Amino acid sequence: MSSQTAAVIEAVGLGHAYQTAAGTAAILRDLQFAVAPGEFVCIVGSSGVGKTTLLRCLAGLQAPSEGFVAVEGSKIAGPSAAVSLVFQDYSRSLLPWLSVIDNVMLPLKGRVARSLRTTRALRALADVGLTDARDSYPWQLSGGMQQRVAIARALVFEPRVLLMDEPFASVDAQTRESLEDLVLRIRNDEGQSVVLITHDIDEAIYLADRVIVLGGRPASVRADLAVPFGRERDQLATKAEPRFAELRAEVHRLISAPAAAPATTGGVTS
Amino acid sequence: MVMTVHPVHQAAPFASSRRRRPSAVRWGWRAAAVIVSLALWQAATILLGDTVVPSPGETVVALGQLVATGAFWAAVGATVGSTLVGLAIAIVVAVPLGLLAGSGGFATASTRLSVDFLRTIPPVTLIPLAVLLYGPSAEMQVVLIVFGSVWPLFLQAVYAVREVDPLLRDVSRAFRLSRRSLWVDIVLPSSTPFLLTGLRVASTIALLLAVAAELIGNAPGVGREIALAQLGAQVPTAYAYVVVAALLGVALNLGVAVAQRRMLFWHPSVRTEGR
Amino acid sequence: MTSTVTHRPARDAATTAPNASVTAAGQMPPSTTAGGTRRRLGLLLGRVALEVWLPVVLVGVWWFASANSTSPFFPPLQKILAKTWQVWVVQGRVSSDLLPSILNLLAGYGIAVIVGVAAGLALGLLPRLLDAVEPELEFLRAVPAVAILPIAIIAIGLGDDMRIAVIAFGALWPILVNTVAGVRSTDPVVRDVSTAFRLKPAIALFSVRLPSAAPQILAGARTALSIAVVLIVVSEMSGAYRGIGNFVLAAQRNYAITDMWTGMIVLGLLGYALNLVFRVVEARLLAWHPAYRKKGVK
Repeated sequence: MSSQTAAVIEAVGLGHAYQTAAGTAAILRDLQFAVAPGEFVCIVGSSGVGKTTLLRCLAGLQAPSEGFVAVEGSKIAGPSAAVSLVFQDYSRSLLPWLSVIDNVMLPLKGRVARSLRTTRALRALADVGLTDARDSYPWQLSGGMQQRVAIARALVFEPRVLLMDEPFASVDAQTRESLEDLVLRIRNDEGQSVVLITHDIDEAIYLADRVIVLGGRPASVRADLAVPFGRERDQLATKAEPRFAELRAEVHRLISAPAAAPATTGGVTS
Repeated sequence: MVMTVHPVHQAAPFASSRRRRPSAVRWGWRAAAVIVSLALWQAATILLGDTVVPSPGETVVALGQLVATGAFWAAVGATVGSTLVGLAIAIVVAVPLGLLAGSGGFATASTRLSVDFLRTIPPVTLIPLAVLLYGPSAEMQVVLIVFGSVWPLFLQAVYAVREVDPLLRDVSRAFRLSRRSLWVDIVLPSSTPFLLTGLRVASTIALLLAVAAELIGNAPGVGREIALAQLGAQVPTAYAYVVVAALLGVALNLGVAVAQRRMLFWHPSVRTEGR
Repeated sequence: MTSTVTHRPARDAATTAPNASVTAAGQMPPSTTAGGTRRRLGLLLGRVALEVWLPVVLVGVWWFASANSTSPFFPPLQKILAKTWQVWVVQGRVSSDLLPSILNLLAGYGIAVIVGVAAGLALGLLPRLLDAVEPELEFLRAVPAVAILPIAIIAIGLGDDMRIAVIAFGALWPILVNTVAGVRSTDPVVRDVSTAFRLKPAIALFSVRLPSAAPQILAGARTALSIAVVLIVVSEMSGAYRGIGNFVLAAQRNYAITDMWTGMIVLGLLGYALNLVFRVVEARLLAWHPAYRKKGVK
């Protein structure tokens, strides 16, 4: 990441520890990375490595115990207006007492006039292909559709960065593919940066411009791999590329390696 | 059936700090709150006159004098005794019937309308009839308590059986457990949270009805003492007995809470999550 | 933590009846043949019969067992029902006795709801304050509400305002306690949504916290309703000159047993009616809740 391109979101010396009955447990240590405007970054790591903690720090839901997160150059002290979050558990993050369109409009309530809210919400719903569901309730929709609603809600803010916490973990494989392509298309059309946390290596490589591998205990950036497939991707063609398999193997190795293993070849990012 | 309550969400009413170690600061604030309340009480005495609202001090003195008398303990014993006997009978009657009603579709459907109607009858409706039949006695009181307390226990028992995780039923079938084992090892333990919630509700109702039977029906007990004190214009005594009634309620709530913690050590609402 | 399920709506008998295939909302599946219509009707009648046979039998037993009764305390049901009509409808006691009771009840209950929800919200959102007053609250809510009656009489007198105050006090606590619990047990994910989208405090309170606590608040409101009914009856049994509680007690004292029974029947009906209204209101307010949802596309 060259220092000339201003990062839209970056983690600087990020560390986090929490108190347990047995003492202090450090989850993250010395995490450093930056995301350029329009860049799609996927963060992968084994379960329990601290991906969710990292995401919560990036989203401003939690203050890190060391270091800081900067959005568009300034340190954040809470959720930033430029950052939008898509939660993993859509069935709990969408409010069941509000219709789909009311859910999508919720972040704008009290900030923007009603007619404008509705327009923007409808636009976001159109972006995710759910215009017809506007008056339904989230629980009347399938899992994939609910997650689209959650994405629409995140987009209505017109954020610079979209943070996604294992967003497709709870949907079936087919739905996952269409949602992945949806997010890619949105990024291509509207140009936000996306930071997507996932445990699915294939998904990470398919979507990302860069894959960041977390590892170690406490976790830090073990590797930062560039993904050379360009913006237009295809579920079948891209995954058939030989480079895809190489990257997959490399990431797999990095995730499974014990704490002390160094990151080696594979295109450390510029 | 409606009016059932999921135990996880009725586990501990205030539950402000289940496992936080009490610190001097917390207790300091609590003490301050108590002092403020007492000050407000005293202000009410000053505003309304001590023939209407005796001061905290007068109430404590009256209570102290009462505690030394045998009549006081007889009254407390009568109220506590009737409440506990009534609750025990209600449990023995309502829980098996409820478990039974919940386990069969026919039983559930047949009893639903009747239970729905009978449980909404305000139990105090029966006081005049009960007084006619049993006089102003402890029997009258117990009958009333039983009538009022069976409903929450019954309904929670029905709910409990229906809420047994179907997965656990599959486990019992897969391992070919006997019907007895199904009930003793699976249904009853998993019903315990619901039943204890029902017990909590029932115990509040039981105490309420006990005092109502004493106030209106003249059964012996704390309620009757309050009424007598009021008629005799012995206001501090009346207040003292109200405090005693409240303490009985607190004791009852505590008892149920302890039972819950003991019996439900495995349940998510009680076990610590190490947050 | 999953959504706060505090109720189950009445289950359909059809969920256990072997051949009926009905939706959770209790509607029969559409049928296209004439034989199908007859079968539908038969199934419907069967379901109704299943639910109704026991109450009918119980009433029948009461009717016939008491028909030739010589006991002074258990007059024939037939006589009771006739008297009920005469006393309450013909003589108009519904308006002279029942109505004032209901109005006082609603006034006290209304106060309890407003104060209980407001205070419960405040305490639920201010954990330090809640912690400080917790001992007092535990004490006050443990007071059996009827015990308050004599001292309320001393303080306020024997009028309707005393009754309303007593009902308000008694009904307050279940609502308050449950509101606090409901607010505090908001799903952490929902709370995160509130924080992550930086919702304005008023929006967060009324669009998020309050609805998510609604099931629990309504559970408390339901308990509070039965307490309120107990209190209106009891408060009228001491020193009132009208009201249904007063009527029943006076009838007993005057040994007008049949009249007493008519009062009891009306009270039973009142309890049932209030509960029914409550259920309707609750179903409206919680239409979005998993326990009440009409099955949708999912």
